[in-house]
Amino acid sequence: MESDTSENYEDFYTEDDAQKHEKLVDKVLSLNKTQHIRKPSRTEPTLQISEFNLVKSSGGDKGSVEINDLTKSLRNRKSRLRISENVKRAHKASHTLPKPLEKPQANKIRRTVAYEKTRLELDRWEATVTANRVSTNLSFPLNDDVKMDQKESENFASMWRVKSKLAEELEKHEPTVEEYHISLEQEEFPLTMKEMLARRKEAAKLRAYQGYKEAKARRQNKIKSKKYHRIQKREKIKKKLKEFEQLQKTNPEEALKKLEEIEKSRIEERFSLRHKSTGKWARNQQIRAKYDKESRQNLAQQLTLSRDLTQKSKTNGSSSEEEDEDVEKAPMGIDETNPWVNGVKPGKEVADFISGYRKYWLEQNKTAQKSDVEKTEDVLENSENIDSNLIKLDQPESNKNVLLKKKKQKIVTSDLNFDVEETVEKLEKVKKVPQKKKKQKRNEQMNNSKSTSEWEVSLVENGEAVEDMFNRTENKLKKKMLRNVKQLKKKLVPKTLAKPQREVAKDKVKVDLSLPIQKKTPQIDEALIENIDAEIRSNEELSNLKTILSSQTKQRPCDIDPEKYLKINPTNLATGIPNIVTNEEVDDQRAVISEAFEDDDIVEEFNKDKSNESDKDKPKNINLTLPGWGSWGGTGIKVNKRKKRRFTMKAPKKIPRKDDNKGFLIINESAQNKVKEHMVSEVPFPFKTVKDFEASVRAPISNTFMPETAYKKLIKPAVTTKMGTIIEPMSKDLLLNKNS
Amino acid sequence: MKVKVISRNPDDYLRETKHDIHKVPRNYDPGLHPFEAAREYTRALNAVKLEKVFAKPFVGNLDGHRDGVSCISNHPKRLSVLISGAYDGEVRVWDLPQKLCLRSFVAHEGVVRGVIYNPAGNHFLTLGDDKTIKTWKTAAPQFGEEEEPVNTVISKTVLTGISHHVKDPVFATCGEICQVWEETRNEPVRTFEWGVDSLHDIAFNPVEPNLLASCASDRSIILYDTRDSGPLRKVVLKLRTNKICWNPMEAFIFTAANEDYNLYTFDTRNLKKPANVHMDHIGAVTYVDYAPTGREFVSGSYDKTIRIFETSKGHSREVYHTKRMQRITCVQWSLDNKYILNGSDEMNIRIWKARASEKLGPLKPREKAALNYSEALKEKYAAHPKIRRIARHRHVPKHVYNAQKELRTIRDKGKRKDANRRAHSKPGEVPHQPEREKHVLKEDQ
Repeated sequence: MESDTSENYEDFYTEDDAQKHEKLVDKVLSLNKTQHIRKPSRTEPTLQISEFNLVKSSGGDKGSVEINDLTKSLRNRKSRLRISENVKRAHKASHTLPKPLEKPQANKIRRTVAYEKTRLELDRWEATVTANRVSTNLSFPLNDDVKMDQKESENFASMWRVKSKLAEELEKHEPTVEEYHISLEQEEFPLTMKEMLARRKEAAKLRAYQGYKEAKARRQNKIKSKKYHRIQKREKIKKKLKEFEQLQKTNPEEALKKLEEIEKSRIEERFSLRHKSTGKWARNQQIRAKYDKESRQNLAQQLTLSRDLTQKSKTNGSSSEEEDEDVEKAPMGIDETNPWVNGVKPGKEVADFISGYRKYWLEQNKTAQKSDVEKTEDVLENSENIDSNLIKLDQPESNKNVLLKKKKQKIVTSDLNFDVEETVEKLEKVKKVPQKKKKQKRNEQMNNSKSTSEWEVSLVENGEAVEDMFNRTENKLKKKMLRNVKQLKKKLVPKTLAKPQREVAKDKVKVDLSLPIQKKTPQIDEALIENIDAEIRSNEELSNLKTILSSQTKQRPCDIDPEKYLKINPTNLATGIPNIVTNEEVDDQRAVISEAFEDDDIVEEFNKDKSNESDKDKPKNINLTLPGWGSWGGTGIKVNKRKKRRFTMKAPKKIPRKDDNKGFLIINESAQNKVKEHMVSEVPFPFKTVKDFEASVRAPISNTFMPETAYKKLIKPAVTTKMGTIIEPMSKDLLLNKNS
Repeated sequence: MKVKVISRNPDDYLRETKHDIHKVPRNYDPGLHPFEAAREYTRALNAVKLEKVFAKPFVGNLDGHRDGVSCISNHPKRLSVLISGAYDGEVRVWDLPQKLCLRSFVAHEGVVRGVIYNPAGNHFLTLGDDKTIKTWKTAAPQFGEEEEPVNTVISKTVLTGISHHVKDPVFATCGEICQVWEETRNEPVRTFEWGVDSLHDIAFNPVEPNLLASCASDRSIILYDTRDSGPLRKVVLKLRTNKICWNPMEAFIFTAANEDYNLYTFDTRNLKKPANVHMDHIGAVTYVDYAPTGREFVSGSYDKTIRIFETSKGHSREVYHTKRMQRITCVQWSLDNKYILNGSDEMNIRIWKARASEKLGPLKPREKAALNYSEALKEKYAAHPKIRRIARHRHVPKHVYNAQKELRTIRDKGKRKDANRRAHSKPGEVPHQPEREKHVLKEDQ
């Protein structure tokens, strides 16, 4: 039986059906009633990965792989001894990492750090925000140059256009191509005025140049002389060649590419049917050839060309060297893709140039090899690779027929060699020079310190020297700074000690950029006076009485200390309004009055008047009894006495008056009432003195008292907005904008 | 004999055309104008009275919803478009100048919790109680086409609020957790959790768009950084915050509408105490929105009033109410700083002027100058009692008035009690606590 089951197993494996196998294993396991915890596996991609689903996957069931086990296998080999030693050393040196912090703790730390960072980031806005808060007139949107999106404006225009049915149909079939305007970096950061002007100038120059070129081209196109064109072509070729030669020197790879291009153009020429006598032009020429010498010549030229081309195709596969020769002789047909070769006939110059090019490189390589072989011994070990390359290249005779690709390699290696040479030379120089130069530089420095306006610039080839120089100057500066700081400290010590420590801490925490308020106007921050319609001042008298009563209860001085009163000076609101009545006048008046009323008994009369006056202002009792309320009412029925007493609000018998203790003086307290209700009782917020506030009120703003320009400035509103313009939130670009 | 005659150049006193202003030669010597201040005061008084005469802030209302309006949102590029969601799952798109409903469709089963446009304004997102986020095209469907969302995302958690990034195609939702989504993906890009309390509002900072603020049901306001670090800090207030709004012109300032009738303006860099406490409402403040200038904000409340506050001041400068307007659910300040829109429980969306007595439409230069002048006068004489009384007088409904009176007595009582305790205990034992320090319970790191 057992053997049978094993066979079955094998069958399963041969079928390689993992699922079935798993099922079977499950079933077998379920026979045994102990619970097995299986390795969890993920089926669905989720963002949240539970920590319970993570498994040590590398080692499988046996546990993780240890490095020591791996190095054991290396122990026998001598060459790898170092590796195993290194591993051991690392093992000894390394410690087990400390247990990570508890998750909430770690999170808290992370949060605090992040918050501090954002706080600092937000601090960058402080200046902008305070400037906006303080400014007396802001116009929104803040960035004045409202950029109308070009695309949007187009859409805007198209909104009003009625599309024809055909257009609509077409649109359905061919959706309009959306244009994406790639904004350059420079557009994002607005330019300064200077930069803008410079750019404009440059653009103008470019345009002028372009125009000039265009005009010239047009003129030249109109010229019909063949000779002229021929000369022109020749010149062009010469120019191109020169360029090519320069390219050889500066960028040989690029030059090679050009060469390849030339070859390509030749190949294309070859498989095209040009220069055959089958074209329309050729046939015409044939007809004409009987009589015309020139056409005969033309035809002959064409035929030779075609012959050349075909010949080359025959010899093509023979050898690579010959192919190179092909390149030399390749006819430069008209090729639109290659302006370089446009209309260039295979002249001597091209051939010369190409052969020259090859020769040049061969020579170059040879010389480079020689020189390098000489110097390789001196050069550092690192250049081993290059050397090996050179050794390979030492036998150029054997593989003279190197393909173009190999050429490239050569060029690269030779380039490297040059670099090595240069570095060696430099190193030698450096060794000799520095001591001398140091002295020189010191002198120069001295000079510099004397004449700050004109700097002598000298070549500095040695890094150390520069560093030295900087260090010296830095030290000097540091010393100076220290001295200054010490002096300052001495001066400031008493002051700083006096400062409370809390303030210092505050300064550290927050950036304070508060500015004085530019335009002072009273700022009122108080609740609205909110009423309902029904509440009209119905019982004003009652409220008046109540206020009087309440004020009376408050102001009840129990002990009057005369000395105190005498000492106190009258609180004078320091107004700027001049006092018109002067003492002299008063004295004069008094004399006149006493003369006039010499005989009358004025005193008694005056007292009478005074008492009358005070009686007039006395608040009266208010009778609140409602006749008929709770008792009979009507004519002839008297209101109950007790009721009367109960419902009358009693006025205080004596109300303090200003003229109470002032002998011969009656003060009419109600006289000012009409003005009083217009007068400000206390100094409003941003003002600190009455004088300031009065001055602010006294300064007119109207154009009846001020010139028009001043008036316009004074009435400028604090916030202006453009009608129908969306005000977008402040953007971060504002922080980057230098010129605003 | 020579006769001397007074002769004048007519150019000095005649105007060129009859449309010109009469030339009036003036001597600005202050000595010649002894009543400057008095005359200006009278003008100011007149100006403030006229202001009251012209104060008619109600512009119109948009009716059509068949249930209370739960949320509204402005179009980011067009001033004339408004979108609103209701408690019955209906979403409506409005044309404001014509007061017309352009589109209406049922977007969700249950309440629409949030509506928001994407920054380009070509799509809008709605969020409902059915745990879905739907993306809709702004362009109305063609004739015969059905209203269908461009995209529907089914969330695993309950969603209660949404806020869109200012520029990027990224938005954030809140609910059980705070999630950041990308418009093109159906799974949240990031999720942030701090504590287990559900969040009911979320707001992207428009200036520093990596900052997020949300308010949780444990009475806290939580700040997040969307870049990598996640939650930054938590402030716990005495009562729950209903809505948060960032100042669009001041990167570190945000205002929280609180359940305790107050609004708190916080400086993100110093969360220990609010920078300002704005009190005047007499019911829970349900919504707050900043003016695009960042100078003012508008708040809607459960007390059926809208109030406009200046950012730097503790009391409102304006209160709007109408007889039929019920509990305010949402308020928006239009992006040209001219109008205020609010949705309320009784199915209407109302349009108000942001400045009650402002003249709408284009003004002629002289008219503008005159208005500016009267504004300047009012500002100059603001402290004078008569002007102050007229300028600050408002008529409020009875329930507001009574509630205010009651609140005042309660506050007075508290103050009195404090004063008494202070008076009868050792000096320094019961220190005076400023209003700003009363409301923040703690700042969690």
